[in-house]
Amino acid sequence: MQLTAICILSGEARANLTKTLRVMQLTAVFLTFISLYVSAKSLSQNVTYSGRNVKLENVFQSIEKQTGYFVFYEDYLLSEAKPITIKSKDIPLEDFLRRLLADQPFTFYVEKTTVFIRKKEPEFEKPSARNLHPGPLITVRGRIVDEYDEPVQATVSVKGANSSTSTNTNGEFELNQVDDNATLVITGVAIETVEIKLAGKSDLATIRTTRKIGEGSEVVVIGYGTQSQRDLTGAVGQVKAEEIKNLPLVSVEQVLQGRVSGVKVKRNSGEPRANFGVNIRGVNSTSNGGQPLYVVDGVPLAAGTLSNINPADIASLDILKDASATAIYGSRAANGVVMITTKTGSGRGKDIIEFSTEAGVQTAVLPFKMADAFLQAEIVKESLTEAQIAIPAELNDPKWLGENNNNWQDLATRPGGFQKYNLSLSGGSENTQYLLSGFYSNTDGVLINTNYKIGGFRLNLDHKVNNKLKIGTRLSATQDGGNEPQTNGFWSVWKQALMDMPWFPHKDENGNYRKITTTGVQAANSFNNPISEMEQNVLHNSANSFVGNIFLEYELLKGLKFKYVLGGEVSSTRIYNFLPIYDHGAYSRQTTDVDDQTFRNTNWVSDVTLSYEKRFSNVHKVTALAGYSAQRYDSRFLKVKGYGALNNEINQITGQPETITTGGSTPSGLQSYFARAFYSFKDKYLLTATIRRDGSSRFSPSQRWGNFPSASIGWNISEEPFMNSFSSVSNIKLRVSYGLTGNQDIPAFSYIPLASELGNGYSFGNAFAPGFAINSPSNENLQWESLKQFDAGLEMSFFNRRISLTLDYFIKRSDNLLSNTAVAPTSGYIGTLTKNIGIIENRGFETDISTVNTVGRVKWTSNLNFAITKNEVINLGLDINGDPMRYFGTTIYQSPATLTTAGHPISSFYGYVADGIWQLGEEAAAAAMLSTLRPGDMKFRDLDKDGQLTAEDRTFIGSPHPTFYGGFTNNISFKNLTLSIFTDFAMGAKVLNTPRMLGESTFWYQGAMEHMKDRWTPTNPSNTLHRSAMSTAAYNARPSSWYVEKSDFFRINNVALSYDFPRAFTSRLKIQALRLSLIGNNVYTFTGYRGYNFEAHTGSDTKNDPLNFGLDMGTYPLARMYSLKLNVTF
Amino acid sequence: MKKIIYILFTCFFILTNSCSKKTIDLDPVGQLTADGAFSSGDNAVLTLNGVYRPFADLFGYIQGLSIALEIKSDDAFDAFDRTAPYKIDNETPETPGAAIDTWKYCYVTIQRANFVLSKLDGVPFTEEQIGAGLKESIAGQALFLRALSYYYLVNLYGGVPLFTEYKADPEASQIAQSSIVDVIAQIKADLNAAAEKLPLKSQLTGGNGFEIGRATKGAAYALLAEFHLILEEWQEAVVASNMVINSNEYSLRSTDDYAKNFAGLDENGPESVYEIQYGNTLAPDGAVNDLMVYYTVFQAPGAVNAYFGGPVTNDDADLPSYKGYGGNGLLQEWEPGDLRKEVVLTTYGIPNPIDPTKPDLWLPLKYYTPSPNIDGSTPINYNVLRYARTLLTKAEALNEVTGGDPDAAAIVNQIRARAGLAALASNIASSQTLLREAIWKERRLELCYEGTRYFDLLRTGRYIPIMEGKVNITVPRARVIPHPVTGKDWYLWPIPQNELDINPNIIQNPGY
Repeated sequence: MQLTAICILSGEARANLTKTLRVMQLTAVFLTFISLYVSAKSLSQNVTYSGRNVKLENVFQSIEKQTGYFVFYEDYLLSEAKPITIKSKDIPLEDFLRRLLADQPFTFYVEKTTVFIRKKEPEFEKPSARNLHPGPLITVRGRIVDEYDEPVQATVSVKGANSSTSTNTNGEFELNQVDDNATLVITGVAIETVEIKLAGKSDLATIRTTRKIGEGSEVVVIGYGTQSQRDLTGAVGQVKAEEIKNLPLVSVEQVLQGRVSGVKVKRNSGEPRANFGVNIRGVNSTSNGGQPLYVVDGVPLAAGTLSNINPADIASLDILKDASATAIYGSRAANGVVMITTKTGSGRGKDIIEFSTEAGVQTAVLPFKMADAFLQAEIVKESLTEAQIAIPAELNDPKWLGENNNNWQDLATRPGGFQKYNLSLSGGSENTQYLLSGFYSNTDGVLINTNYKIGGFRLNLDHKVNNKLKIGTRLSATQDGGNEPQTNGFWSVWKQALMDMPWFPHKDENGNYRKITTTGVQAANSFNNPISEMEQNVLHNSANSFVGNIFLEYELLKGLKFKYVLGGEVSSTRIYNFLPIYDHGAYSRQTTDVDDQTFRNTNWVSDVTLSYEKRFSNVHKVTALAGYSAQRYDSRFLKVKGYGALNNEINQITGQPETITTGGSTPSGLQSYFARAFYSFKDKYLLTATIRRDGSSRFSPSQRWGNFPSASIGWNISEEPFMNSFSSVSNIKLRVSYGLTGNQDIPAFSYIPLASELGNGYSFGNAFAPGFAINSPSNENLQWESLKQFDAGLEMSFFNRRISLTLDYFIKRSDNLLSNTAVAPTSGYIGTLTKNIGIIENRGFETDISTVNTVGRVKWTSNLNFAITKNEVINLGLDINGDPMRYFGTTIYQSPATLTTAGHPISSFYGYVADGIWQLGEEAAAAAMLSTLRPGDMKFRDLDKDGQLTAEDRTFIGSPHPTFYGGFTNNISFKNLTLSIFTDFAMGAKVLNTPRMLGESTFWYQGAMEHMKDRWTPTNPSNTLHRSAMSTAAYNARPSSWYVEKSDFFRINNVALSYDFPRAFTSRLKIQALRLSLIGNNVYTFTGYRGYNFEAHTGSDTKNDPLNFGLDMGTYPLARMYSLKLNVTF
Repeated sequence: MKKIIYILFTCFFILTNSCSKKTIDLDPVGQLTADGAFSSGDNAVLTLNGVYRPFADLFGYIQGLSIALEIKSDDAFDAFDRTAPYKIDNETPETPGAAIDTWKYCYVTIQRANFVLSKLDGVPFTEEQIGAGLKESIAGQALFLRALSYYYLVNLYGGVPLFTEYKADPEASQIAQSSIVDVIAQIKADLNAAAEKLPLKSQLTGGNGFEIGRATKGAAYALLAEFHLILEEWQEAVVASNMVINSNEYSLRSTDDYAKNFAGLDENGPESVYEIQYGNTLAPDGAVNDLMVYYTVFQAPGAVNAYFGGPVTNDDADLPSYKGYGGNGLLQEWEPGDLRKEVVLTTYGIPNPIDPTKPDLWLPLKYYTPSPNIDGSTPINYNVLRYARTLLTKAEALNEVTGGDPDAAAIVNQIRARAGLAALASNIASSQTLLREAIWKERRLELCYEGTRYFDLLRTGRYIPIMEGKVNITVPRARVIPHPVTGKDWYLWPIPQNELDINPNIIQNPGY
């Protein structure tokens, strides 16, 4: 009953956790309880038991008493038990269980300190007759692994005979006295049964088996602990190491791409340094990009060192989606939580060395050809003629054009090579497990002079000091760096290269960079020589980072554990920008310019948790968790700018005649209490309740604390007796959850009026004078953005788990949005005022389907997931006229590209509706709409019917959010060959194609795309492509339905074909396994979208701005990649 | 049991340690709170420096009021015709550009000035600072900058919301426009108060709060004189001008040194009354803290993509597609032998960027530096008030008080002599009308590209006839009001849409 006391306490805590409740009190209660029930009795994992014709449950009770393990089973099962006669002395628990249950219709598995008793899977068919021609008796050896080469625990028995054995920890077995013509049957709790005909062979080498799909015993990682899949009442998606083993993945986000329903991952641009945006269940906020919280081995990241986790080290990614799962992370969980768990050693007594190397090449995916000199000249000439400007003679000279015909896109791109190495050593003993790994990769980008290198190592260590005390650590350190000389961003040199005139040579006849001359046609150039900038400028971005923790776990009492985790994340980033002296005519630089910036972020988190786990009377199972967490995040920077040196050798700060230094520091902190209680009755009825109370330094003391509760229930329908008759149904679970999470993602100290130093100060008499001012208004009443989420889920599996299906329906409602509202200019503030205004709703339906399509010689498994989501802004407040507030996005060609307002998805595209081209004979009608319009110009629909083309004719022209998206993975293996194909898809989203906007605009001297050869001319009355005209260029290019394109796609994202060398070959090389893979990445996309990035996430390449979604800015192009990979296991 | 007690102790230790309040009770680092900004005299000076900054932005880099004032006059045109903000005939309230930024930066200055004025009494100045008159000087500077902001606001937008108190809450600033008369009264009061508190230019000897380039008594009187001129308060204009002239703080440079007024050499020199300070210094965040007068872009040879044309070609037919903008007369205005012309205008040897087959454009040379920054900006200060301007203001006022006042003609001759020109003919000097014309012409030439022409055209009632007659722009009449003091036709800029969107009490100017 004392245990129920804990439950009641946490129940009360949930009900009225107020400011008066302090963790101290809670802990005191716990600790008092502990001290009352302290037992010095030591527990062992060995069992001594003797009995004759005893009941099975009596043996179980004895096991529980001796080992402290719980034995879980269904009462009805025991009715099938036979009486037991057994005699054993001090033998390991598992061996004891194996002997105990050998003749029983049960099997077991051990998970942590729990023994689960289950009904044996249907036995293979009993042999009807013994082999009539017995051969000689031999000794058979072999090693059993799963499809991912992991050793498997299994029983090997001879079909029709009584002899059998179990595999050792390394999956190896030896069976004596076997008929050389016998058939071996391999069974195991986690694998599909396999039969093998010996046919005289004694060394069976490696036997590959298939893991059962969706096994209910699998463990998912949840906040501050783990839970078996069967007990889970929240929506959690999981990606396991095996699924990504063969893929050339560069980042954690890429691992998430298309593998779990409802998780949308978009690659913002194709630079070699990964740059992704992740949204779980839609965009829920107007003030940040809705990126999830990442928790690495228990450390919630704050400084964003995510890119430095080597995907090869990942054991599992668990994506917490609904409030039941996320509320334990309270104020940061509104956008979902991704739990990243790294691998540990196996502890099976043998060290395993794994090495892999991969090398490949990537090429840019370029959707457009740019016009050659002749076409460009035609377009420019038409534009100049229209503006009554004389045409430079060169443009009428075919010889000159032929000689000066540069393809800038080709000059700026190249095939980029890449290589990657992974080495890991893992193993350990029963008491100590370790994993030591290192990796290095080097990628050359597809734009010239861009590259990225990263290397690092990891040490994961777990040590059992005694039966009660466990300590361990997770440590990883990485270093990375890359050069990206202004190749990203809207006005990147890459974009300038696209827009430059083909007749400008990038180098002169002497091999020097082209100078911009002031005469002739070249005088009209707008840009510096982009190739020279890409080759000469240096923008080097490098970082050292560390993420890790140390932990201590002590079992205070049977089932009651204390855990302390001290985690840290430290990163130090340097951005070094060097602009050399060069003489390019108008764009010359007389002195050097060096920018050297260092950012140091530290994030320390200290977690204390107490957890309790107990099963009573075999029907009640209770787990409880209570904890306290304190987190401090400090962000510091030091920037030095130097300039004025006259020699390019002086490319560091030292030596620059002039320097200016600035620096700053921003602290923030979070203090939290949390608790979770779980109860299940007969493993059928499940209940989970969590609460977190967060205090954040980002809000004023009066608004600082917030409570984030959630509750969920689950029903394992398949455990009901009435389901016994449905033998094809392996598992059905229904679950429902509701809860509250928050978002605190605003700048630190938004609640205090701050006189900040003005970046640019003032000068008195040419001497710099620092200045202070209050730039932004503050809001003392700021509160958490709060997100209420409802989720209903159904989990099913059929035909012995050959088909598993998960369905979820959710409604997410973000309230009190942290909105940056404009202030009247008369207020004298430059910044915006952050207020809690507005509601956004996301609702949707998610499905994950896993199937084992075929087993046997050809094994084929599939995983399909998809989500249907709908995003709607419910309310963003009212403007002064009482109309719904409108937030416009980036303005492109004098008109905003997006509009966020009530009743529409966030960041909906906004603009004119294109309606063909004004044709000859329609001069008067065109001019009536807008005086400057002529035949050949774009015709926009007059939506307000006022006879004129005005801003009132703009409307909503599409949503950037897919309504249907997901991924489809297939693994097919035949003998030693395995083919993995990962595809993903999305429908319903649109993208604004700004590269095409520029490439069709024919604005002055601006690079045109090749398809503009079909533009409107008096002799080619196109009804789609407008004419070349300077005076209406900006008008034609305005955001309109002509440039907002459907981005529906189906992409063959990854293909990997692997060959496992046969054991006979590998054993000669004295290695365990050898695998060669041919891998393709971003192989082919079926899409109607014409642009650089159909998944464009945002207008800015560094920030995921929720008010500017779906803008393809033609930034760093995406790459297609092919590689060869070799895996060796020693 | 012992072990358990040990563990318990550890638990408590860890808990109490991490429960430390410092986790979330944090203070900002390296940033001053609103009170901290005035916790010492030195901090008050830093906060005062923040009041100067918005004008550097407004006349400098992107915002370019310096450009807008020329483009809206007949002295310059928008070469590419593609930046609507600087066009008069199609200006709309949504239009980004000078109309939005001038409004915004003036109010940023006003808010910051009010912030300084509201907190000044609580500042613990040291004895030394009190002795040096720092508190008075800070107050005077804040008042001057507030008056300068309202000077631009009232002349460009008419009646505007009037703030003399600091408002922390942005929503408290959503008030209605005051009348032009009320704003005028406030400007006069501020300038008179500022003039009393401010130091003389010669007292700016360095030291914290007394660096050269700060507002002075002379600046306050010079601005007051300009303001009286606009209001046709001739006698007051003379008085205010004399406060500058008779202070013996200023003098005209010699003919040889004339170019130094605009070339970044010897800045804040004898003729300088108030300049927007730009310096060849890099700001902490790496931004160039420099003047970006757009026409200086042309000074980077070959950088012909700049947005704004100079004023002039010899023949307006040279610009067929920009009809009417060229050949407006500034180029032809110079008398033969006027030494200033080559200081002010040049072709830079650059072919006509719009049409290379046509004659070269003449482009401004003021603020030219042989080595501009890569973006075309220059570190040269921008003249807001120059001694020559104050002299001409006095001359004009004298002539209005007494037609053909010999002192007025003497001043004009002083300016002309420096330009290498002969004295005015006696028939001109003795005629109020002819002398007035001569003074106006002298102002145009002497002060071109210093932001005076647009206001001169407005206050003298010549704006519409000149723009429509010579430059061929139709000035929308609906946007023109009679000035409540002078009755002159006054063209108003639009209240920016972002103000109208938020402030329910404001009313758009007529014609928009």
